[in-house]
Amino acid sequence: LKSKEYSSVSSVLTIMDRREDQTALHEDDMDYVDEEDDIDELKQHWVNEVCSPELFVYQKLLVERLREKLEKQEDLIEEERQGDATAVWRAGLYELETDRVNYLLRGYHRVRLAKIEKYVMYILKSPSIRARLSEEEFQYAQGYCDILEDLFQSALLRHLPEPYRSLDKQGNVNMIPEPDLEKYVFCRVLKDVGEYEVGPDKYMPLEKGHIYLLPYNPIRRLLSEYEAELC
Amino acid sequence: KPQKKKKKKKRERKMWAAKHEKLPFTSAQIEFMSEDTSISVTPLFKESMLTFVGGNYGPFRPGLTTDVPLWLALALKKNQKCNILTPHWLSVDYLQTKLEMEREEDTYLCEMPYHYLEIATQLLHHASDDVRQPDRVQVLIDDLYRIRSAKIRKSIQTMENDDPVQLTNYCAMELNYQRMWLLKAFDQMHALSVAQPSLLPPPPRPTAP
Repeated sequence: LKSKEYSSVSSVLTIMDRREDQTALHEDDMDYVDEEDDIDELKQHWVNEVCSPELFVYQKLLVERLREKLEKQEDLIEEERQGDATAVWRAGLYELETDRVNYLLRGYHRVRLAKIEKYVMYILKSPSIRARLSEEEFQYAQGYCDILEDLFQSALLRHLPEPYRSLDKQGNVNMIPEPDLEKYVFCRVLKDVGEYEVGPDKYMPLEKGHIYLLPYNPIRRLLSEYEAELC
Repeated sequence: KPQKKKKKKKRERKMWAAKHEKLPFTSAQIEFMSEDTSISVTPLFKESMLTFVGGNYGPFRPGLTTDVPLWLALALKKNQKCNILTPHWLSVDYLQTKLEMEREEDTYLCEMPYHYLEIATQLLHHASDDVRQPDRVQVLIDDLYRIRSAKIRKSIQTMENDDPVQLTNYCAMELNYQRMWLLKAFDQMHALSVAQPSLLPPPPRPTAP
């Protein structure tokens, strides 16, 4: 099974924020958003990004919600600092937590930027993958790509004969590095899936709560439906 | 004399590895992830609800057990503001039983809390007065980790081709330690099987249901 067959399933590519999916389906539940799990969700998104070869959709709503909460918390910390000794001690504890959340946010953005830099030309060329970037990431990717192309052109390609000057093709051969979707990953299954196709003619029962070592491609669909997570 | 040289190399290698830990997740990051685990504490202070980004904890009354995340429990402990109630699995009896169970099995790992190593290390380091028989517990945890790692190494030898594997009861640190090279090894085997299927032993035939 080649990766191209999987990439044609467009629904897999839009790995949306869980809440966005829910609010779209159940209009009545629009007000119910379990915001207490935001940090755990961000942690899982961070882990998923680090472990997977491809870039997921940017969790815009989640990040914005957390940033808002952090701002409010930082105001609270400032306020407490003006108070008595207990208030200052409380502020210290609050700050411990904001440090943790900031670390998660930074880690999440850093791993995404690293992936963007690694596959910048591939990402910018494909509109569906481009859609997974945030506004800022998209601007960053464009700027980075321009600089990279300038570097290659001025340092090397300019000095090569005409047929060899292209960055993206060498004759008919594609020269843009693509993420390898067949890379093996550790995956924890969150729901009993039963017999699942994990390769050409390979089936394996996937049980809830267990960790499996398998190629990334087959479990892409499970990831997008939150029936599995990487670890 | 040759034996002395060997020892020095091993220690140096370990120190070098710890310094240049380039795993996708460092041990410190795994520890960070474990610090969200909920743990029970008995506060030694009085305080109303503490409002955090991740939720509200409290109110705190001396003697009244409350559940807080591990990072908060450790912070309170460091300021001597609470006593930590060690989880039931961090006890001599439980660990002893698990160790015996591990010894009985050849390659199958017994069920342990996913973050057992990180949580145990942190509690024994910062709250050893809250753990019953901390020295004994430390020894048991070390033995468990060693036995499990040996079993993992042994079970890896049975992985002959690129077939997906179920990793039952692997814990965070053990998984992370195997991460870099095990995944790369499987990538290589997969590349080999795609290029020349005859190079790898055939997958076992599925048994009839």
